[in-house]
Amino acid sequence: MALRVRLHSIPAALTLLLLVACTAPASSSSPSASADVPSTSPAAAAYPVTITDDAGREVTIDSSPQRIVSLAPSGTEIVCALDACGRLVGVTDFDDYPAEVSEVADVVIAAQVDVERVVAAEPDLVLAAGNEITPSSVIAQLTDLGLTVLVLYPESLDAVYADIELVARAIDATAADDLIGDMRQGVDAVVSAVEGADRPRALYEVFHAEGATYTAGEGSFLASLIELAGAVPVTGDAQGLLAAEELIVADPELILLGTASYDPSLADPEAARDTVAARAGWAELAAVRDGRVVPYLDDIVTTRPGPRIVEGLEALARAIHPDRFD
Amino acid sequence: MTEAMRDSVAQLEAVSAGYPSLDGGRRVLAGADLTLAPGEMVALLGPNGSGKTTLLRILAGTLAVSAGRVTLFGRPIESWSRREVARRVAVLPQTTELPAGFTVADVVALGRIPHGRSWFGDDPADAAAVAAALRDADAEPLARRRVTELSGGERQRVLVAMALAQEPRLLLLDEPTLHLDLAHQIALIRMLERLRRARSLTVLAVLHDLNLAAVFADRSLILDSGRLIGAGGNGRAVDPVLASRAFGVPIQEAVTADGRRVLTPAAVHQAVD
Amino acid sequence: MRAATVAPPLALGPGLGRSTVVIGSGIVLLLAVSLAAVAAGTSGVGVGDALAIVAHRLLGIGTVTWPLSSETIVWELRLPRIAAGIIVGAGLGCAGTVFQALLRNPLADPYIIGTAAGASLGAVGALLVPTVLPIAIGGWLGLGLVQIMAFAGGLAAVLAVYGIARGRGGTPVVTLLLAGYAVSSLLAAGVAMLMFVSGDRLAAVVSWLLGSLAGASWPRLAFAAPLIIVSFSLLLLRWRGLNALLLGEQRATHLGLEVEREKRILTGLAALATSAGVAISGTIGFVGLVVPHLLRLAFGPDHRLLLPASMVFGAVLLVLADLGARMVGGIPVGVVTALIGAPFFLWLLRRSLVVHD
Repeated sequence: MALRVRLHSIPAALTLLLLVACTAPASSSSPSASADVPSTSPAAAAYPVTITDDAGREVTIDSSPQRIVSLAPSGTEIVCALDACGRLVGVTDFDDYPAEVSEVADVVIAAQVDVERVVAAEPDLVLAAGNEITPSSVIAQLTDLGLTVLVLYPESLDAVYADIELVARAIDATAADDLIGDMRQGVDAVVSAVEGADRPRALYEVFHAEGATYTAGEGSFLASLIELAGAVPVTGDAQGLLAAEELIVADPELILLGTASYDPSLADPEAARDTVAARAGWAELAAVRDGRVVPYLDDIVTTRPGPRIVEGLEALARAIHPDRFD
Repeated sequence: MTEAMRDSVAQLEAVSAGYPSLDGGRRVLAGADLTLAPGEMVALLGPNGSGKTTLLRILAGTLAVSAGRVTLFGRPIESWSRREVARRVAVLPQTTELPAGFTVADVVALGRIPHGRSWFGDDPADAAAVAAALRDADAEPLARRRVTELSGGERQRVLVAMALAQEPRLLLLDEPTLHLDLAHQIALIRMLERLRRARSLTVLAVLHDLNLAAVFADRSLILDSGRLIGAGGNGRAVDPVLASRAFGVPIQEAVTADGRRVLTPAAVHQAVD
Repeated sequence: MRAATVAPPLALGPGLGRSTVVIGSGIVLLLAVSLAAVAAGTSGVGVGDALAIVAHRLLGIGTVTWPLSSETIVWELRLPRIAAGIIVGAGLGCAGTVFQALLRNPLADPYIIGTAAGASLGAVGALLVPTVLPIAIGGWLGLGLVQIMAFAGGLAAVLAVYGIARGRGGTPVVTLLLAGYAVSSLLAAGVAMLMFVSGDRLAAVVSWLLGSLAGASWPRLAFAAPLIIVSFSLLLLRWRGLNALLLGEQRATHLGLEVEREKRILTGLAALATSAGVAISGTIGFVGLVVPHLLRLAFGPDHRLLLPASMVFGAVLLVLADLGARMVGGIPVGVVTALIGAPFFLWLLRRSLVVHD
């Protein structure tokens, strides 16, 4: 990173401030000064910290970030779950949890990152999403402007735990261990609840249009969740695309309509079954014949790789094995 | 270089040329000879496809010959740059279309392009040349009109003015009377006469009317099988025998009431029954 | 014999005075629009602050009373975008005028002989490289692989089209147009293929194809601006050739123009400006098509005035369009130019503005 850019960045200014505060003669240090600066606790020794993010980038954070911008809902939820919600100065307009983030200014509008608003928020840490959810050109632009950007893209439960720890290290939060512990417990509870039950072939419909069905990709995060929830996922290719002929061969016994989370016309089980049965070739699928077409309304928590992913897992398990849950 | 060559405006010696075609090159001109003296008015006649336009293009320097020598103002034509040629030779093409959006004066000013020196083109010499060209071509009243409003005859005059704006010494006209009615044809001929005197121009015009050629030209040349044949001049009608051979139809001579010889096609009605 | 009357001096061409007024007004308008664009944005940097920042950075006057973030926004985000809008808009306006004269076709735009298709293939290919090769290909002089491939692709396509259209007697304009169409179609098929396999990168690909000034930065401008400025400076000097070409190639030759050489030079310079613009901003449409037509309608077809005017007003249009794009949720500027340009073009068609060959 060019030195000239570094000199313009706020972290550098804060570091200088910290150094000045720390080297002040002990006799003249006043209680109010140290209240602003976490200088004597062990946490101060944690900075500067170098983190390798999910995109393989090595990012150095000089001091505890107090102004955090999150460019994806999952990042926002992680920050809030770590009790750092108050440090958020920019979120997306799609963020909906927890309720207090609606008070925070939007810097991502209709999935477009407004770089001007991001800069205006004067963040000392930006959490971006990988796999082009935040376009790599935007990440490059923000980095070139001297902002500290961490890219998150967890592709498994373990990766979600790792990201929570990563963010906790970055922002000097202490709630990570408890949070992860709770999440693991939740997962274990689901796994034991569905143990021994029949594992149906389950199709999770992410999107469907004109003969193309998008479902969990082979080996994807969603596929692993479906397995944990006690079913055998019917998967598509790397992008999740499932050709009609392959779908018929796979013959799912259970269809979970994730699209029902966004399409009210699919909320009613009868209407959903009729809509699905009308699709070419679908009427012969085991799931349709047996009437196991389930409108699934928890798509958001199931596909958002954040702290609430366990709720998504629970929702999946409930939908697949309703008899195992009261 | 002979004396004659130095004085001549243009000269063709045993020139062969033609447009390349699929069958391996049609020779339109084959061994053509021509000498244009300063101040001459020469008519070029011949059937369609005989090479008249080809000849004009050779003289204008826009078509290369495959054999023979072409001399322009005493130098081989290859030694002139395109711009130098355009400052001495002006061509009046067959088509009278003009680009829309221009006024007449601006179109005529395009004739100053070969002379262009200043960056923005505000040379007073250009303005003077354009004014003189408009006057000589009888187009002065049209100066501020839009070209889209002009009649065919008016467009012709504008094109003549544009050619004159180049201040050429040789003026080449390709069927200038094609789109004109009789009155305008005669008016054009008279204008060319006047110009020849006023500007010391040499004029070579492709004509299709044999009798007009006789009236207009000091000399008439017929293109026959790729060669140029002198066929009359100084008011004498074109030789009917040569004309018959070149055009492939019987042509006879007649005498008008005032004693002029004119040519007309013979035996037109024979094949009708 | 009448006494010779003194005719009033004949005004030829657009006139130096009138041209100065037109270009001068255009430049004033451009400055006004640029200042408006500097002062406007989504982040609430005040108008006064924005102008003061520009004055401070450019002229060194004034004391800093604004936060660093405001300065970053104005100097690193807004100003490069505006500068890109000016440079690319001027290049597109100029190239569009040149191609319309050269090809004697009113539908000609800067992309017509393959620049857009070639640049698109290069850029889209570069956008998808990370999905194939796990390594990150670093930039060079502030340019990413996308910019370099777009520039190279645009120029390569024009070279190919010109090479295909070249015949024994020269490069006929009709052949050039047809070859341009054919090559563009072929390359567009390649782009479509790449889009199909682009997966998660589809949004990035579409955004590039629509054209956007969002990625403008000073290093990228340092690459594109000299190329565009040099090419349109050289093109400005060639107005006589462009005027002559309006008469058709035969007559232009008779007026002393080396037509084939002129076509090569004009194509090369215009393609250079276009490719440099596309490299940093994607394929922004309509600017190069509509601006020359509108100006011809207003000021006449003489390239003495038309060329510089198309540069100035092309810049105005693009800066305005980008301002609109920024304020309406960050949509690609190509969408805005299409929304502005298409209705104008329909209106022009109804006025039947056609240049006769």
